[in-house]
Amino acid sequence: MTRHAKPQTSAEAVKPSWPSFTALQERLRTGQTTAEQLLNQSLTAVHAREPALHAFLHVAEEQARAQAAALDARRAAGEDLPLLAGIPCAVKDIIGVQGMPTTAASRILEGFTPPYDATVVERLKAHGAVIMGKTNLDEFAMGSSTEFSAYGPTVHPEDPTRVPGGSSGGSAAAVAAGLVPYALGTDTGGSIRQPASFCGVVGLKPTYGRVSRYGVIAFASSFEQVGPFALTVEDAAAVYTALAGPDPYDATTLPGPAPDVYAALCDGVAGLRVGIPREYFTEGVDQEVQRVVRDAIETLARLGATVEEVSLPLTGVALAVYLILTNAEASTNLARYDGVRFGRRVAAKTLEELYTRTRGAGFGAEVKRRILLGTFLLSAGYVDKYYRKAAAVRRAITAEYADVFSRVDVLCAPAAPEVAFPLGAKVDNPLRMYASDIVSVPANVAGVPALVLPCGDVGGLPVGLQLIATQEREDLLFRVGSVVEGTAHPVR
Amino acid sequence: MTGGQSERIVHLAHLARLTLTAAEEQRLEHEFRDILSYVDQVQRVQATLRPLTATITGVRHVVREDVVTPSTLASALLLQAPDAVGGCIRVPPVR
Repeated sequence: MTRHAKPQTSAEAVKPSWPSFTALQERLRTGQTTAEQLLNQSLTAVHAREPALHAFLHVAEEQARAQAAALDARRAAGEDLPLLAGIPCAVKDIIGVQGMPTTAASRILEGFTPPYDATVVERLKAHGAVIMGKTNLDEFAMGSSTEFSAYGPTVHPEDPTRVPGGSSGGSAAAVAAGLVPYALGTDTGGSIRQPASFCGVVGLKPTYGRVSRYGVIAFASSFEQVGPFALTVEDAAAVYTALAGPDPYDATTLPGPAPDVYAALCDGVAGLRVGIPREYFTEGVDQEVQRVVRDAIETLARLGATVEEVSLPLTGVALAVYLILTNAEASTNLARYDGVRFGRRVAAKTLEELYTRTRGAGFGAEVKRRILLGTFLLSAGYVDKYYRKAAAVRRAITAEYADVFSRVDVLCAPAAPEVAFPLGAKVDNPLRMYASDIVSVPANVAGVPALVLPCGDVGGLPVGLQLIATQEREDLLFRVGSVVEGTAHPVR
Repeated sequence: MTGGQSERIVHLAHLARLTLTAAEEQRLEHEFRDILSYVDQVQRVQATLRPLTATITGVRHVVREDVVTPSTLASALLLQAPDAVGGCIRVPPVR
């Protein structure tokens, strides 16, 4: 794999590497390192790259040191600790961590500190994770570049003139830059997968309902899922395993325990049926990106998978369905930000003014755009034409995916239609920005799981391969992903 | 832009309880037109408007026993309010 020679900063030249969780845990267990030392490695890396990278909105050094010290004490007392114990990680700032600021990268939540942990955070803590900070995102997860953060964008870890992708750009950049070995993001229309592709890391969007959304600031409740960014497929599987499973606090979670995915990592691809959906390889997707992705798919054929082209005719309308339904859901979900009970409040003489001034001052342009669109699409006279119609087409798209998965096990496709684009290139053109998600939104529309891993580059900028399986079959994603990873040239 | 378009944005801003600057109103008129024209393509898809459901995984009607459990969250939540007095949240008058 060739790269453009880019001027290396001294920070980039000493990008810290993180061994796999299994290797890290072995070092911790045998006393070769401690949670405190791992945290120091993370914080040193953060201080070297921030604030220029701007992956973080908040670094929680004190809390993280306390967590690390407690874990080291437990280990010293002879306790056997889980795989993730003592390993530092970061959390997208749309996920609530008790006692840490949670802003959703918006001014309207400036100063808000949740009094409880999101379920995913509780689960990570139960596994001994050391949460060292909150990462940057597009405001309320609405965006594809992290440029819509009210606190300034995150830049691409390898090229500061480019975006890291979005909306989980901070988490993707933090992992790609070696600041932490894993981080949490959320994915409503591609917000884990597209930045994973842009930054050259592994990213997973679980099946809708597989991971709890309790304590996650809601944007589009029937689309979003929390998922991991990691440096390897196996590590992503470990984080997924810690997070997955039903939650009585989230009634949309799937009942019953999440199936084990570890065994699948070693199953190989012989006999597996791989589908290449032709609608994901259209002129809307950069030709060079398509070439790199097809090369990766050929590897699977050589290793014994049967590869065939399939068709998902409704793919082209998925973005329109997504825009209608998510904006409608967003207009409802963001109605709670009114200056009354929490967050920022702008002074006003009447209650009505309180609402309108707080919301007018607190929300950024993209958020207002989506709220207003959603309001329109749900309004009297239009709700049947747009909202109900889109919901009906959504069911048709979901059925189309279920049908194709009766004929193939996994779909392989690009994770994004392009490589990381320059800062400022799309901010003034909403439809061009939304188009960055054309190959990622269908999985959210259909509620199916999708994994992204690096499979090459175009001009030195990472390209991700997207694997898609039917609902509740994350095991197939990890199975194929670990094979591709074993044969592909790593980007980092 | 016609007056009708501008009125639409103003009306929606009122429904959404948002203030907009004149510049924002103008920009949004253009953007609305483009985005709506893009999403209109759903009209060309054949799909019956069955009873509306937002679930795509089939998970519905998840219930629990109606049992009172203690919550310590109430006082912590009140602390979040920009202006709280005597266990209540204070806001300006309606009019």
